[in-house]
Amino acid sequence: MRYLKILEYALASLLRRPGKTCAILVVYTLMIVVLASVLFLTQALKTEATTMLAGGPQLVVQKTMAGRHELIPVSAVEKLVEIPGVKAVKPRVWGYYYDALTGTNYTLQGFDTLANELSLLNGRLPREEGECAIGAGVARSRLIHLQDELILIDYDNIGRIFTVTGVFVSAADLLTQDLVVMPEGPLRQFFGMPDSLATDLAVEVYNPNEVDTIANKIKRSLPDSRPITQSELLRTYHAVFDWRGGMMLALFSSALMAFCILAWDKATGLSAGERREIGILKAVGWDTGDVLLLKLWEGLALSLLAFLSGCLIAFILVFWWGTPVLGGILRGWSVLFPALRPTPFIDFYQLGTLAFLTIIPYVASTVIPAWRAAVTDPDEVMRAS
Amino acid sequence: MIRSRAYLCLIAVLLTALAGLTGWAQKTSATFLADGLPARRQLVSVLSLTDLALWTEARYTRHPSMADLFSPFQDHPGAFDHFPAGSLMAPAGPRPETTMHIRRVAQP
Amino acid sequence: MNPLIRTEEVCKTYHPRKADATQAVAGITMQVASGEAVVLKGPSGSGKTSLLSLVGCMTRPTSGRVIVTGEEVSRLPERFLTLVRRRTFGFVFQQYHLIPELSVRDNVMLPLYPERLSANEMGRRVAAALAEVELTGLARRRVTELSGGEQQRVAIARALVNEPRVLIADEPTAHLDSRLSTVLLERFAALKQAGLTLVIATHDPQVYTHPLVDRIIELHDGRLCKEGGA
Ligand SMILES: Nc1ncnc2c1ncn2[C@@H]1O[C@H](COP(=O)(O)OP(=O)(O)O)[C@@H](O)[C@H]1O
Ligand SMILES: [Mg+2]
Repeated sequence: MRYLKILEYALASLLRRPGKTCAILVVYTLMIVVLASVLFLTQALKTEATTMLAGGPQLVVQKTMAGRHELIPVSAVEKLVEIPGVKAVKPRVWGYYYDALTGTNYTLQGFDTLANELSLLNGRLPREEGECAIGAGVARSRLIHLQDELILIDYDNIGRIFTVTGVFVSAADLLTQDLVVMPEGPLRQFFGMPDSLATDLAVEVYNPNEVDTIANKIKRSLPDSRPITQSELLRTYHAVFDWRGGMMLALFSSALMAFCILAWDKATGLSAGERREIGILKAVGWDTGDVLLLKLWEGLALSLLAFLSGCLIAFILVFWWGTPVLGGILRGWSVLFPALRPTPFIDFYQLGTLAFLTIIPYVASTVIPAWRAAVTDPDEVMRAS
Repeated sequence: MIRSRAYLCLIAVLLTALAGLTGWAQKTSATFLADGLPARRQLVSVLSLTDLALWTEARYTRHPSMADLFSPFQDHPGAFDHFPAGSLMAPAGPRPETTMHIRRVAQP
Repeated sequence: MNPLIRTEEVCKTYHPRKADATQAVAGITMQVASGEAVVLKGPSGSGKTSLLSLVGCMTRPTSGRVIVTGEEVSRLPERFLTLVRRRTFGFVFQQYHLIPELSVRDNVMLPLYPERLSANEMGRRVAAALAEVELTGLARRRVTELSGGEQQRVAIARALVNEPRVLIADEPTAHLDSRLSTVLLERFAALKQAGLTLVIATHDPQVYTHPLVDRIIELHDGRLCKEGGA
């Protein structure tokens, strides 16, 4: 009851300075919106990326020459399959294509024609030369649809015509938007890549726990190779999003500093009016504890409201509105824009940390300066105005 | 007591809304894990994809986990070269987990 | 008969360990009986306000004892001192000390927040206190929109809202003209009639010659120099 009543007074006293209270509330909420958006978005993308990519190759072996990536001889496959624990080795053929027409980069990905059909593909996978499946981003940028023709210029500067047999659904944009998929053979012809070479090798192992050991063995049997394990690959994505999030926070740090200055300003001194008010309250019979409770409520009322509404706005912004402004900053610039509609994976631990790191300092900066005024005798109010 | 009641109501509404959204998020992500994920994993495995198509502008951003002919830091899959200031921070994660024993003399 | 308030050789020194130490109250022994109206009289700077804050549990004496309702308050922990101050005393400060941005009603309600009272009971007491000073019509006004005399009535209502036993008033007529002073003294007389004990500090002859005053305690330089009936 006493708590409620003092909350009542705290709200009344916040409403006494509506301009100041509103300004703090807006800045505070905005700060939470940005911080929470970054957390939501990076967490969702990280989780989504790692769960999806876990379906990819367990181990990729590249060849390096003079410290650079080189095409790997297909003959290396025989050497690798002999390593105990290796289930299968598949040469991969893929590469990039710059489309001068639209100023866009495509990724040309070869695949095994034995593969079955995909549920995320409208139409079917290409089967022979002159056919391809494309990502929704490619379709958008070239204004083509299913059964239309896609003209690409090959290594020899000859225009080649491909029939679009399938377009990936845009729900899979995060994986496929810039892909042009065709069977391995035609892709080799397009790139002018000899049959004896491949871009890299995908290795399948029997026991995923042994991947690191096998990577070691591969490194020993092919000294000029560079094995990349899936865990390294997934960690890369964790790191990339952490780094992106960090960059974003760095950009945002000026706003954070402004907020700190505000809190500092509050923390370093009470105004004469506030000091006088505390004196009056004590003189009319408020305890030190009552006064501190009042200040606690004042800080808590504001920061709780700001935190909750900030989280709410961030949630709606990120998961329903596709992160209008922040998404661009977080993702960087791009010609092809995948719609950023991440699956809402939420990390409550992070949210708790955010709450802890924003609410506690703010409340402390309201309560602590009031402390000194609250513990002194109130007889000061008996004289002088 | 009007203000405190209104305030507590507001907080309760916000909490309920957040709880509702969180519930929705849990449900959606669970659905994704149950229905959407297998299809995506199949896609990833059939096309043997290694990276997200988030940054399509440069080779080394399109496939951050793969080394590339022009990638400055290709021995370190955790190093990002979005711009030169990528060296501002030490790349996260361990070095590649492969080690090599170097022979002094070529074996016959 | 036990007096309601008693001081024994009470002293108050401000900044005791510094060069500008001031002894505002220098060993005063006096008492106030229940239902009595006592005036502290003396020139400015003679220690009236300091003695009032000692008596009203606003601060602790440097030495000596203050006894309220038989209990020595000078050594009570802060929490109990606050309790005594809230339950036993009502203060009307010289500068009124209302909180400017709040309404008349909210100002009068201030002493009730720390009490265990329901919202209805709080409202009832505030209404009663406002009726007592005839301010019911202005309850929702901001105090800054009131005249000086009305502000003082708000201050009196605030002092009365906790139903105290003692009303302490410091220079109550300092900001009033003689007509308003007369009205105020009539009000004080009525309160005394209702059983309230009054302790008033003043140097205004209009106050200490008023028939409601039972006893005058004259101070000079923090010492008691004359005590007697009006
Ligand atoms: N907080 C204080 N610090 C130092 N000196 C004070 C303080 N309060 C009062 N005094 C001094 O104590 C003396 C008595 O003051 P006060 O009790 O206000 O007298 P009165 O109310 O009779 O005018 C004065 O000399 C005054 O300067
Ligand atoms: Mg005085």
